[in-house]
Amino acid sequence: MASSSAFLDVARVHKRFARVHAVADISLAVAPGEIFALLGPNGAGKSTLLRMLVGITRPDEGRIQWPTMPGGQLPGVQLGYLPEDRGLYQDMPLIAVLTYFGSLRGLAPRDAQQAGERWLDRLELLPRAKDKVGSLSKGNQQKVQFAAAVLHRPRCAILDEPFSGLDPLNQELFLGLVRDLRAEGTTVILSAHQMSLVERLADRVFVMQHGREVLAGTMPEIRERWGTGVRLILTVDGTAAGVGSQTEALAAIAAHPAVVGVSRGEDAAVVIALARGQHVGDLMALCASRLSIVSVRTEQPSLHDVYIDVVGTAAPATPAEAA
Amino acid sequence: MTRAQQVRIIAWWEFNRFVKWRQQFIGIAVMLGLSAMIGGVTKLITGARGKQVEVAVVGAATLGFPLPDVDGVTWLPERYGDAEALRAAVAADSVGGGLIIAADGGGEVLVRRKSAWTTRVAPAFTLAHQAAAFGQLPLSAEQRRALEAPFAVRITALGTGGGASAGSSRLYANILLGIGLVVLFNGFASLFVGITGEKQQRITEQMLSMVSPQSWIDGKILGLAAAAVVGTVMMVATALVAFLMLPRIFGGSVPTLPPPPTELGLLAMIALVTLLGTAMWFAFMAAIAATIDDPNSSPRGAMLMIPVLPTTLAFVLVSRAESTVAQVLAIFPLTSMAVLPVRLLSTAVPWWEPALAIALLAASVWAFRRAAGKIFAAGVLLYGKEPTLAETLRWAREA
Repeated sequence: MASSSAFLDVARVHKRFARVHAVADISLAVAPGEIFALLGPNGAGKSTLLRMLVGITRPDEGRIQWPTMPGGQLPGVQLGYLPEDRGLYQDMPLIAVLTYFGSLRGLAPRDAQQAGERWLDRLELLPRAKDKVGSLSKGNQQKVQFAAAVLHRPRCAILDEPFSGLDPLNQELFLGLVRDLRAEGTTVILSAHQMSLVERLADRVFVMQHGREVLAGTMPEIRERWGTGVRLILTVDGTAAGVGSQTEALAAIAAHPAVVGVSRGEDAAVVIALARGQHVGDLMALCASRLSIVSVRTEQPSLHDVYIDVVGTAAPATPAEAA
Repeated sequence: MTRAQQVRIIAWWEFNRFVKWRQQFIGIAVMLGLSAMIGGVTKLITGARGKQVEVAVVGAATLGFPLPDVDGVTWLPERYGDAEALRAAVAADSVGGGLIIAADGGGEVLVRRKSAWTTRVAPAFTLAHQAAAFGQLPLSAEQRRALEAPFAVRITALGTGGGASAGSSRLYANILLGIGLVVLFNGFASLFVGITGEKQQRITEQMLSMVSPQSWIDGKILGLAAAAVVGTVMMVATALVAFLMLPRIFGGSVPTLPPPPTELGLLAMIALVTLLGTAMWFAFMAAIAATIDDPNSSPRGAMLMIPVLPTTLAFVLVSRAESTVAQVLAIFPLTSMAVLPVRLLSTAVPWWEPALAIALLAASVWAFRRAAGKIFAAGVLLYGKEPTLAETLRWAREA
């Protein structure tokens, strides 16, 4: 993406701690109104990068700019932040906490209270508005935390691991909430480990490992650039005639020029990874002649597959990075 | 949103977190109830003391003065004819006690077991004997009045140097110091919970995305100091109510306080010094609290007692307020909050002394506040470890 049209422009940013190069030469751009997902294993530097975007820490080198904002800086009132390391005032009522955070984000106290009540209603917690935060379950506290981060309708919401610790139903709820934010015009930058959710949610992903970028782009771009292509999944009848030669059949299939790999999947499935841009007509004929095929389907590589493939094979960290 | 608005919002939030009005009033009710209970028990004990012991006396006629009143004793001068009969009666527990007056003066108290009233007999008889002897001297009424009159001393402060306002100055200096000490103690608790608790509850990152560490610490210092002051005012008011009202309820004499010093300038100066000193120590304590990771195990909690030292020192200096040591400590910023009011209330102080003390104290408030902001900014995001003293001092120097 061209930096000139970016909402956020990060250029060659580095952050080092005592013996760790936590963020190494990261450059990225985020478009206005998109959902941008940061991915990476634990310790990849995602939270460090997000803290720098929020302004809690500063880069040692490089530049973080918000080109559309005056002076290239995003005012605190335009920012919503859900930290990975999160908590709330346990001894205070829900509505008081939301009003307080809304006020600090620039809302008038009455507006902050009304916004807090709207969010509690949306999260089905309005009847408990005057209960103390400590009386809520962990999942409900996380909902309140989310509301506290965005109730002032920020231009940009930075959400560090918003789905962690949530049950599947609440993950779906949060998915909807994040989509709603985007629909309201908020740019969302999030980090997550839940690949299937990110795949459904993010406009673009950025994968980090050992503080460095390992891949970035939209899902189609990532599949195109990093994926192993479409996979052909054949369910075969292992008891049918000619089964004894299945190993030979798989070897013959693997030798076909349109195939980059063959493996046995679950439930008597044969998974054939196809090379990009190859015709598969004669491959299908070969499979039909050597295997007793019960069903056929194709599958796009998932983000999970790409992630495991790329992160699993990424270069090891330098001694300084690995420290 | 301006920084001042953020500081105001944070201060108000912290104040409301730590001033729970309902609990404050319950606390007052409990305190008054306890005081009333103590008053009632005291009255019961006083009533118990009114239970009289009958003490038979032999030889009262040889005294030369009437039997004096002794608290808890009823004299029975005619019941037994001689000492032996009296000894036998006391041994048989027929009478509470006995007193045998010797013909050459002095006496012997007889009891079957140890009794508290026996210690009151000798002083009462000594006073009665002295009064009788004094009455027998050939003195005129005028001479007697002259002998009984105390030596009158009147204190007059001349010049513009201020000085002792009244005989009550020392009392009020002590009261002020006591109140200052309570404010600081109240502050320990709220600062400790207000800062380390926030780290424990993982609120810090969310807050720091909204406000600068300096704004946050400024708001905390203001809000928590105000909470400590309110808590102290409530406590002092309750004590005052108990002090003045309970004697009325239980029929005792109502104690009176001497009138406080009335010089407005003096009071304003003391108020200013107290305000600045409280702000300085709260900034100091906030910085210490920001370096504490786990309040249950950190040895740094003891450092929060440091501000108490100057106050206790000032208690010692109340009776030596004119000394050079007191003058130096009244100017030194770490001790001036405690010592300067003592000097202002107790002795003559040159005009430049409070001016210099206030200027230095104001500079210290600014420096401590800045250092607290820096230490807080660095320390509040450290989880699982505490910064070393060297790191803390480096952060403070960078302020």
